Amino acid sequence: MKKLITLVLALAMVLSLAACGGSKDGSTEGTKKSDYPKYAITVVTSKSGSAVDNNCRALTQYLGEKLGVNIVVSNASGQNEALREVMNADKDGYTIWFGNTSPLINDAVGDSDFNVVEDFDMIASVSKGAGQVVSMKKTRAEELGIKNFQDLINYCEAHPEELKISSQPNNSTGAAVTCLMDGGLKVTTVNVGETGERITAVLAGNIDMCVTNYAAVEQYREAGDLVILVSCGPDVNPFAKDVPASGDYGMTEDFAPYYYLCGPKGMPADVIEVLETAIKEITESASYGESLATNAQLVGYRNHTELATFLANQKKLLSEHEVIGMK
Amino acid sequence: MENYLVFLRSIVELLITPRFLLLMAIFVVIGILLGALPGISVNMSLILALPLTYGMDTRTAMVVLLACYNGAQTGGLISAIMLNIPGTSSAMTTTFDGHPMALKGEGGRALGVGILTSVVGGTISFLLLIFLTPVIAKFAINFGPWEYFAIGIFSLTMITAVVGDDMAKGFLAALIGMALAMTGTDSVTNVIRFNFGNHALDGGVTTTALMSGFFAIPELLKLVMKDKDETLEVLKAKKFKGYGISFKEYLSQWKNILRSAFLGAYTGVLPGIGSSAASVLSYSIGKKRNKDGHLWGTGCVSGIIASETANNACIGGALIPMLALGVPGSTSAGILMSSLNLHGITTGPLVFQKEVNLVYMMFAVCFVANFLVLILERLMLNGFIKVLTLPRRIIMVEVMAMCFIGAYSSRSNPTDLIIFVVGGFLGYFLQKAGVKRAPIVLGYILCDIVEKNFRRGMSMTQMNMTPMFTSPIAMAFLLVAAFVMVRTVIQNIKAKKTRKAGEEEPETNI
Repeated sequence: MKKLITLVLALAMVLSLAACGGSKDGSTEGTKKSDYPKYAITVVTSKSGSAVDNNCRALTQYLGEKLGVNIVVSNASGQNEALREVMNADKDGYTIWFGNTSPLINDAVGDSDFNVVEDFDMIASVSKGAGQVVSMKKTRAEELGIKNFQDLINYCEAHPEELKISSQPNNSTGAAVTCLMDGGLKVTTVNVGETGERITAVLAGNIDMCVTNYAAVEQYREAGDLVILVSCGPDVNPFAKDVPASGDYGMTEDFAPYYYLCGPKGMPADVIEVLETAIKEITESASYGESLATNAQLVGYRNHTELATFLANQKKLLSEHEVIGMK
Repeated sequence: MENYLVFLRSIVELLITPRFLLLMAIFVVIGILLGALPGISVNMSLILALPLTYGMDTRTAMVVLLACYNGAQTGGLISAIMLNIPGTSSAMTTTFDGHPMALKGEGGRALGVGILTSVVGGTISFLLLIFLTPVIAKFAINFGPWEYFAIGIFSLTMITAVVGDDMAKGFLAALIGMALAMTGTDSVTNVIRFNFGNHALDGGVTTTALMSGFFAIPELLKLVMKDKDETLEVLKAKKFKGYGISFKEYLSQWKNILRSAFLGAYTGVLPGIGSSAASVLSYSIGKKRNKDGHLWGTGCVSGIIASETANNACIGGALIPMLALGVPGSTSAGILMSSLNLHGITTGPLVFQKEVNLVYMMFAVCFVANFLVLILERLMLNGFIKVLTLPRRIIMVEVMAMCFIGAYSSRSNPTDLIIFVVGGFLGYFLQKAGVKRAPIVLGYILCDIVEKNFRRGMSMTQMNMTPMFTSPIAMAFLLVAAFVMVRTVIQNIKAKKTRKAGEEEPETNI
């Protein structure tokens, strides 16, 4: 019995120690400009190995150097979980969030228990995914006589809902497909999983097309396995200038993911300013731009005010569309 | 041919460059230590090493990460055997035979065999990686949702191998595992489910927290319930030489070794299945196929071989789709891919043309690191054994502290501490009620594969299940699954009747 009590006490001690480690600074006073940051900043992001995590780590390398403190990347199981964790964190700027505009979709369709725009303090956006692209297996395109996007539109007009396209609900690829369908592309949407699974489903002939970021299919295009029919968005994808933009066909809306940072509501203004300035300087550096280009990303800086306005507008736009998989 | 020369040149370069050799040795040891700590998963080990590689060139970064990966994957067997708590989730099945062996005074031998067979499993998968990557990658493309679903169903029927006499309890245990796996964010639509209104559960019941608790807390409670201060003195009792197994005895297991290595590499190649499922599958199939399978769970070397060969063979398997298709075969491979991206390297079908030197350098690192594991982990064994001769109550306090840290650090979420404790007590009481752990683990691991792929298959075929029956691969797996199921049920009923005549089912650690 004595041993049991001792061990239970030991357990409790360990538990509280661990919990203490997890709690934040505890300071409730506003952080002074000259002080921030004094120690390591935790950036909470999506699961390890994901595209979001990848982008986060690319940024935090520079951010740590710029601010002169360690940046600890903490991986939650998804972007929404990461947001929820940050929402409940101390408002001292030592726990912030990094992710993209995908959680806006959950929010826009009323499937979120928090407001992505209003429940957080925006810091700045850092990058933008160049337009999502629609790819088809080359042999399949030849079989159907589809050489370009106009051919695809014509084929779908003649054979409505025959071709299957895969995107993922609740993320920017789902929104991109919505935009194409609202613009008149008559296809059937299916969900076969994440980027890699979508590409392999096209290669295996299980589906006809997939929507991914350009970096994921670039090598397949070069190898002659896939053809890229269109880039979703108003402008031509700078990494694939020979591919037409859906904007040329009247499908002008831009749902490309923007990567940004935010923190819990009520962060001191000077903390936001310090972070915002550091991010502005990073995004102006050539080496950061080059590292983004590897993943077909573009520099996309917006300060905290511009970012908040942009997100509010995107949310409004998303809620006007029927986002695939959510309704 | 030229590519293989690049590989050989890379091996020589690694061996004669002190910087590379030293880094590999250091990170193999770090990996083994992290892997041995319950609660610190292989993925976590890689995440901890990742920031160190930011300032390095790509080749050095790969040396560090792949050495750490190999070390961590093997390190998990140490605590699995000595403490009955797997260091990594893929070493869960190693506890089943490893720990009973330790209790019989054969802990050193179990560890030695585990290390040796891990390296053999790794080597076989790396050979496949070097010679067959393009072929295997093309083969993997043919696996769509229905094929994955059929594999999942086939694997679930393997529960029959580990349920023991009481089939009903076994299947109940599998359902408990599946229920735990379904909690949180639905992986198909991202919608939250079964969180009982508690957003702390939105991220689901995480593997690290649940499995650490599931194995560690029952051990702690068992210790508490005993009057005596128990020490694993048995480890001092029997000495062992080399790796605790003669060459002849090890070779006599060749079927088991090849089957496990193949299963490990195969499950590694298929994205989303992972090394935990590989070792569970290999152990379950081996238990049915091996001559001494009925004794597995009581302390059989062949059980350790099945588990450890498979989980290490997963490393090479998981690298194949990552390199050739740009699709990581596991989370660990995803982290490696992330590191390559950060260094400006994109993987995919052209990586063998564009980055041939780097790719074959990575293969060479896997090979050399694997052999460093063989040497260094063996050298470290005596140290581990000495630690374990300390009073168990002292060790368990440290282990519990590490488990709490590990459970928390996997996603820095206090909910994981609760999952750890609740999972632990659940494990303890289920064990007390005679419910085996293996079916719970199997249900938990396989649920996501089965559910996700069924739903994706239905989405892909517009709610039509016919393609599942017209796919030769899916049908083959489903037919074998049905056959195994029926045969096992009949066998179990017969065995139960026979045992009623007086024979008892052997007590196992499963």
